[in-house]
Amino acid sequence: MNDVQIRINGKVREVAAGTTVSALLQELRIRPETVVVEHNRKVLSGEEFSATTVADGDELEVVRFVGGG
Amino acid sequence: MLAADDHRYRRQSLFPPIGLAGQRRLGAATVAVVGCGATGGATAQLLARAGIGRLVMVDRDLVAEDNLHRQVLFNESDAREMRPKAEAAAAHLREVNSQIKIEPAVAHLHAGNIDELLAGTDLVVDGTDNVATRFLLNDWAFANTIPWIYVGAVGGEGMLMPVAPPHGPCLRCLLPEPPPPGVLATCDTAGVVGPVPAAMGAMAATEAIKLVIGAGEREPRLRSIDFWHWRVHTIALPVRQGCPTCVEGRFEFLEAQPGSRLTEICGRDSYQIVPRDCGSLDLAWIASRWKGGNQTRSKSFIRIEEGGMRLVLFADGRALIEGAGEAGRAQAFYDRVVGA
Ligand SMILES: [Zn+2]
Repeated sequence: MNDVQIRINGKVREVAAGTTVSALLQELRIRPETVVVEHNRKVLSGEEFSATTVADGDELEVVRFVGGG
Repeated sequence: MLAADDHRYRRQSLFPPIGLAGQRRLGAATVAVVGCGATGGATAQLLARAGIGRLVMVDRDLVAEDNLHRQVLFNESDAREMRPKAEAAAAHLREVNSQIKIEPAVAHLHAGNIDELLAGTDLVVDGTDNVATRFLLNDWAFANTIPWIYVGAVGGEGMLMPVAPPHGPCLRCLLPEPPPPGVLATCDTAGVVGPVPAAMGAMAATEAIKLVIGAGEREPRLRSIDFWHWRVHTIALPVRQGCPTCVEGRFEFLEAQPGSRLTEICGRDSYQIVPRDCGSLDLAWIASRWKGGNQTRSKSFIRIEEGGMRLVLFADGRALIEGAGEAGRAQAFYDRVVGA
């Protein structure tokens, strides 16, 4: 499968074409229930993580919930 | 009285969106800061300086040496004497501003005491370090239609979101359920850059001023700031479909029965025990009958040391236990002291 180039939090990353947001989070070892994900500036709901695949040039912002204080 | 106040705050009221009218609103407002550590301490200090008329400060913990790099209200003697944070913070802020009411509460905020501790507040600012208290605050805010500001800081990052009931989004639109222990980074696992929580606290204080004078954002945004790498991100968080708190109005954290609970605090080998019946203990009597180990007393707690463990017991029955190594040993020590 071809790789596509995306940006995650501003950093370029190569991922396999057809990768879902869920798979990407798993690859990054991020628990999906603790983050907000924006896909091309649109906030995804938790259910959309597994239904959304990334394409070349996509921008993802993965914002982790901050618990301390 | 007004003339003196006007002079004291004039650089603030000179700012047109605040003005004298805004300054008067600040003076008439009650703001509660829950948690007086790093973020909460910075917020409380700036709100006291800003002239918030009544400041309620709730904290369950004692000042420790490893707080000093980031918790701006405390000094070395507070840590040496292990003063309760709420009391040390109040003493400090009374010297900052003697013209306002400052009300400290040395307490663990829970469903059974939140109505009493936050009575009469116009706004609550989050200075906590844990998710459980935030979920409780979120429920309470919607049950009472009082705004609150979620603030978090860990590592080199911070996050902030004003929550404005009756409208969402709310904390549970962001984080639907409290994650299991160990999932979120804490200041003990990830560390924290000292100025970061103070900067977040200053932002929260600014938002608090705006909310009090009615200048808050019409649609509050989630703001995420990575101070270390300078990434600032604003998110228009949507209301989550079926959100129990802001959509369905079910307040499960507020309705939870406060039971006897033992929780680990911040991973520094420290446990907290909150008893089921929150009646008042006779500390003098407990101290007098305790024959083992060293003990010291202050007006709000007794401290007992034995076998490398240190227990601090408050009059509401709550205790902090350090050095126990594991929960069972902490509970056993507590039971021996209190006679449960
Ligand atoms: Zn919500």
